[in-house]
Formats: sequence, C-alpha cells, structure tokens
Amino acid sequence: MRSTGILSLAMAALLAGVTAGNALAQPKKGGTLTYTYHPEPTALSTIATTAVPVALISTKIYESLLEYEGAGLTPKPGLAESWTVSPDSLTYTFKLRAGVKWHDGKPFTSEDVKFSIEQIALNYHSRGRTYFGNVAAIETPDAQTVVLRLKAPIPYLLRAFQPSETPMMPKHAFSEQEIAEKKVRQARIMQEPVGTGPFKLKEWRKGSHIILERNADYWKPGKPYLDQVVLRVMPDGAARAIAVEKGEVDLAPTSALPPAEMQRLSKLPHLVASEEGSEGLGPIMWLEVNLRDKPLSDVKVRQAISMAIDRDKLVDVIWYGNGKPARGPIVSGNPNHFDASLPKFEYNPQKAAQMLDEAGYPRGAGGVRFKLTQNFLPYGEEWVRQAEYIRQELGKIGIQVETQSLDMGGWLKRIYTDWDYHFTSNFTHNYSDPTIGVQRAFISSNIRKGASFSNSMDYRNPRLDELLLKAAGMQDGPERKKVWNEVQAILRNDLPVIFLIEIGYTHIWNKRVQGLITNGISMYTNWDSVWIQ
Amino acid sequence: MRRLATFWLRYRRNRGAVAGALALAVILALALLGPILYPTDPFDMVGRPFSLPFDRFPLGTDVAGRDILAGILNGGRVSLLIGVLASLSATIIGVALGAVAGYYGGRIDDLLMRTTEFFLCIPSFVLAVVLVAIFQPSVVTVTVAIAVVSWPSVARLARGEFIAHRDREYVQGCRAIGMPDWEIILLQIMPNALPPIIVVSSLMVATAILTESGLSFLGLGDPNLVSWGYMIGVARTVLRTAWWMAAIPGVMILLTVLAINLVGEGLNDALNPRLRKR
Repeated sequence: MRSTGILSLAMAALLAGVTAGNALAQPKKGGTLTYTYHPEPTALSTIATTAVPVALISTKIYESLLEYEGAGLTPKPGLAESWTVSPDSLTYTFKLRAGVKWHDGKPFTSEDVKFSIEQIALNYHSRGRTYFGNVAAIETPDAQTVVLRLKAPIPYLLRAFQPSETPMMPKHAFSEQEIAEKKVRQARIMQEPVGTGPFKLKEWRKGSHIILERNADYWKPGKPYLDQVVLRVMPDGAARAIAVEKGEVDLAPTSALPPAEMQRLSKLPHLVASEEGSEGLGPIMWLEVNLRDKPLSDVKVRQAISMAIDRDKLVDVIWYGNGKPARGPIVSGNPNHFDASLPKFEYNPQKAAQMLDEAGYPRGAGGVRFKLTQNFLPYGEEWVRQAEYIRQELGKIGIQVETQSLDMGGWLKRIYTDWDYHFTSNFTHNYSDPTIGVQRAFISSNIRKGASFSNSMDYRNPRLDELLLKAAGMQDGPERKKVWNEVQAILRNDLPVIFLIEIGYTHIWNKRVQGLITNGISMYTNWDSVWIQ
Repeated sequence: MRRLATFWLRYRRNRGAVAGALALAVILALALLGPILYPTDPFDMVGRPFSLPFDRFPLGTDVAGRDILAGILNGGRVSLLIGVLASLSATIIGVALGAVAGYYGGRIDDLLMRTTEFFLCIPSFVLAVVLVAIFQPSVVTVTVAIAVVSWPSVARLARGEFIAHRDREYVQGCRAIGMPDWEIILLQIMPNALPPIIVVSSLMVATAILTESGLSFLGLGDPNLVSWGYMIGVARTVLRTAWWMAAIPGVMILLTVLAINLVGEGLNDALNPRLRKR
C-alpha cells in the first residue's frame, strides 16, 4: 500500500510538473540563443547586400517603421506608432514613436526616416526602386511625423517597411562625403552597426562568431527576453548538423543544414523542424524555358513536359520532403494573392506522350521525338539530382535530354546574356507582393539582355503585360485579387516556365527555444519575443 | 605460337598477376554483359531512396532511389572505357613524340622534351580539372583531358628506349641498306622498345580510372553518364547515414585498380626477361 502511495504521490508531482510546464508558457528572461548559418555575413546591414546571412543577423539590430503579424504579413505598429493612408492612396502619414534611441544614445527622428528612404533604400537596396520609385516627396513637418507623397499608388508600400527591406539607418552615422561619393556600402556602419533594434553588436570575430547583446534601452518595455544572440560560423555542413544535434547550437534557420541531415535531425525528439515562418519570402522553383525556337515555342510541348514530371516525387525524393508542388507563379503560402482554387499540375506521362503525338512530334529512331539540352542552377547536389530526374522522365516520353553543367558565372551568362539554352532549373523569391517578385519574370518589358532573373524566356503576352501593370497600381483587395487570379490562370495555361515546386525553407531548432515563428518572415524579424526555456 | 607459350609460362610464375588477370576478366565481363543481363536504367528512380542492400534491390538504392547495382554495372563500363581509351591515346601520343625525339635527337629532341617537361611540371590532376572545367564535362573531354595529362611519362620512356636502340648495329645495318627513317622507327626499333611501354600503359589504365573517379567525384564527370566516381560523389553527403552507398563503388574502384596493377606487374615479369629472375 505504501509503495502505491509513493507512486501516486510521484504521479501527482509529475502531473503538477506537467501542468506547471504548460502554465509556464510565460516567457522567461535571460539566456542566449545561438544559431548557425553558412556562409558568414559579409556586412551587418542589408544595404550592403540582401544575402540571407546578412539579413538574418542585421534584422536583430535594425528595425523599420512597421512590424508584421501572421503569414500574410499584416502590418502592426513598430517604430511608427500609427499611420494613415489618404483615400486616393497617394499620401501616407506615419506618426513616429517618441523616446526611441539609437544604440549610440541619439534620438531617432523623422529626419532619419526621410534619410533612410531617400538616400539609402532607394539608392542602395536591391529592391529599393521597386518599393519607392513612385515616391514624389517625403515631408517631415515635425520630429515625430513623416509624410510620403506618391506619384502613383504603390499597393505593397505597407509591406516594404520590413527590417531587411527598409531598415532605418541613423543619418548622423554617415558623413556627407560618404553620401556624396556614393560610398555608403563602404561606410563603417556596415561593419559596426548602430540601429534601434533589441540587440546591438558586442563582438564580431571573423571566421568564428558574432555576439549581439541585449539593448537595455530598447523602446519596448521588458524586451527583449534574451540576453544574447550568437551566430556561430561553421563552414562544414556535417559539423553544423552535429552542433544542432548536440545542443551546442539552438537554431539552424532557412535550410542551413544539408537536406539529408535535416531529414535525420527532424526525427530527433529534442528538435523541431518546421517550414513555417518563411511565407513572406515565397521561394519558388521552375524550369525556365527558352520560347524562341521550336519545339519549345509550342505550348503543347510545354504542357506535355509539365505533365511528364512527378512533382510529388521531386519533393519527396530529391528535396527530402522540403517543399510542396507548385500550383502556379504565386506560392500557395501567400494568402493575399494565391488563387486557392487552382488544382495541382497533373502528372500523366501517357497523356503527355499522346499530346506530343498530336502536336506533330512522332517518335523516331530509338523512340526519340527530339533532343533538348538542359542546364541547372549550380547551387549544389540537389540541383544535379533534380536535373538527372527530369532528364530521365522526359526520356520516357521521347524527349532526349542532354545535361550541361556550368558554374554560376557561366550559367548567368548563358541564360540571361546569351539566351542560348533550351531549359534550365531556376529559383526566385515571390517576396511579399507578386508585383515585386512575379512581375519581373514574365512582363515583356523585362526582356533585357544581361539582367539576371528577368524574362529570359522571351515570353510576350500583351494581355498579361496589361494585367501586371494594372495590378501594380491597385490597392490590395478583391479587385486586385481578381487581376492576380487571371494572371495565374494565364501563366498556368501558357507555361512560359514549367512551375515545379515551392521549395521549403526548413528551420530546425531546439525545443527549449520558444516564440520563434511569429510571421511570414520569422527569421528576418527582430526576435525580441523569443525566449529560452 | 612458341613466343606466346613462353610469355604465358613467364606470366604464370607471378601468382598475383594470375589472380589479377582473373579478377580483371570478371570485372570486364560484368561491365560488358552486366547492363544486358540486368537492364535497369541507372538513372531511373526505381524505389524508395536509401533502401538497404539485399533488401528489395540487390545492392539497395541511392539518395534518389536509383538502383545501385545498375549504377555499378553501367558505371564500370564508363570507368573502364574512359580508362582504356585515355591510356591508349596517351600511349599513342607519348610513343609518337618519344620515338621522334629519341631517334632524331638534337633540336627536335630539345623542343619535344621541353614541351613534355612543361606538362610534367604541372600536377596532372589539377591540369585535368582545369581542362574539363574549360571544355565542359563530357565523356570525350574527360578522356581527352586524362590523355593530355598522362602522355608525358610515356614520351620520356619511349625516348629513352629509342636512344638506346638508335645506334645499335641492326639499326646501323638498316640505315646502310637505305631503309627510310619511318620504316626503321616503326618496323625495326618499335617492336624492341614496346615491352616496357606496354607495362607502363597498362598501369596507366589504373591511374586513368582513378583520375576519372576523382573528376566525377568533384562533379566534373559527364552529367549524362554514371561512373563509379560519380556514385561516390553522390553518396558523399550521406556518408554518416548510409556509408555503404559510397563503399560499394569504392570497393569496385579498389578491386579494378588493384587487378590492373597486378596484371601490369605480371606483364613486366613476362616481357622484360632481364628482370625475370628478380
């Protein structure tokens, strides 16, 4: 009897512990979050480059006017306490929060905002022109008010104020000479950041680590919860995986580990692997097709190719389950613009072969209808495996494919400068709005020799151009959604590219890390609410 | 006939060489007949990736669900083909240049040997990587690249042999009866100079297979063909989870190279009578 008593006591204690654990979903202060990513950032500001490693760390140091909630990036107050948009969508007025200080103690004012947009983002951020090209003037009636006057509506303007896209930079940290001589990217602040964010730079030992420490004067009371955010630089993929497995590192964001290792680690009980939290980037992969010559200029041929590829198998086998079959140009994780009624692309090799017969490409000697050359994006092993798979599947419907491997420089030249290719795998980001990420690949005005990730296919569809331009000037809402729905329908039917998969960014973290996934750009937010159990 | 019999008698004395010849015969048979008897396409996704050997597929499947046995059989073809062709072309180039240099001497010798030294002083694998990278990987460029980096050693050897023979009495006799130079080189000296060259070029097949594997491992093989080096390259990323995927083609390369080296040793014993009582 006695032993049972002890047992039930123990059980009760255990239960209490469990419920306490649940109730303890209350954030705890203190602790260090260590993450790993390769390669090491080259600078600590996305103004220098928007590469992933730079965006990951600089977004903890710099903030923008707004913060965002949910996968669809609903704007919330950030450095701007409130904002109003005029009925004609041509005037945006932001009220700035009072008492915000830069890491060096100087106050943050409307002058900094004007400077950050006009002098920095517009001139130096790779998407600055898309965001602010239609801004006519920026007025600063007082230190807490900023007014943006536009020449034409910018429907996605409220999503431009992300810390990686429009970081607020301190005007006083740049010399007039740096601005005048266009030496902003070489400025000292790119290496020694001064932001308003919850963390500030403590130490950067190149080749080893970066330590960010808590900003004690942060404007959000009680935040951040963490004392430190540390980046450990580890060039070897297997070593990164072991560090995460052993708990030396808490987080490997944005697919920082080799796919085979991610698959192995995702099964471990103390780790969480999630594809959530990157919806705002919208990575999508397709086969870019050169439409200049027969037979690829024939839409029937492209439809047959699309039908010959099993996208589920691609995701499962080549990408170790990281991703989803694409259903069109806009990723399904984008709730504002994706047409959810679109079905999956059909996989049916028999029908594909039949379509090629009907299109007038009968099988010749050895069952071959015609020969094509394929290239692939030289980003690593998986891209080679994918090319091999595609060659195999197309071979079965009578298209003999020869694979050609090129390095990054050779690939960019062949696809975007020489336009001398049949088809190639390619991978781009949708970003928060299709006008930013989708338009550039399909609009005929972007058939520009030498411009990378442009319309290399020579796709010209006047109706589509008209729709894309229309959408670019509309405010989000049911009307704009209708325009995007038509765009998706046209591109799905014309297939100027063969949409393959929405590559998933997998983030792997230790279960003791809490509150990491908050919105569609979770790895590019400031982590002020992240805490360690 | 008698010469062949004495050759075999000498060769047979080296037991390792006999074992090597047997192993090589088996590997050649596998490479030649294997793909016919086991017609699975090595690039076809036939089943679940990472399945273990001796399960559904004789040697399991690789990272993309492709049959490893099919890869080994087809890859053997490619590896051996490139190895033999590259070493054959290297031998032809090397012997031609070495013969001319050795026979004529003087300025021609100087010119050809300085060129040879130029190639000899660049690490051969690095040069092969550069060549393949410039001319885009394909089975032809890989073969040519390996041949280009391999011929200098043959040229040096052939030159030495020709220098040793060019002033012998039988050659002087040929000159005295007015035999043209090409006839002396090809029909008189060549048969006498050939034995050591055969040994070296047989060993070169092994080096060529290793070079090809190295190139494929680095992703510089023909992307349309499976080879053993390519299979190891594919398996490299999963070495911690599926070691056998790299080990199987690795063992094949090991066995083939070992067999060729043993055969080369045997040939040396049989063809170089001076060394036979070592």
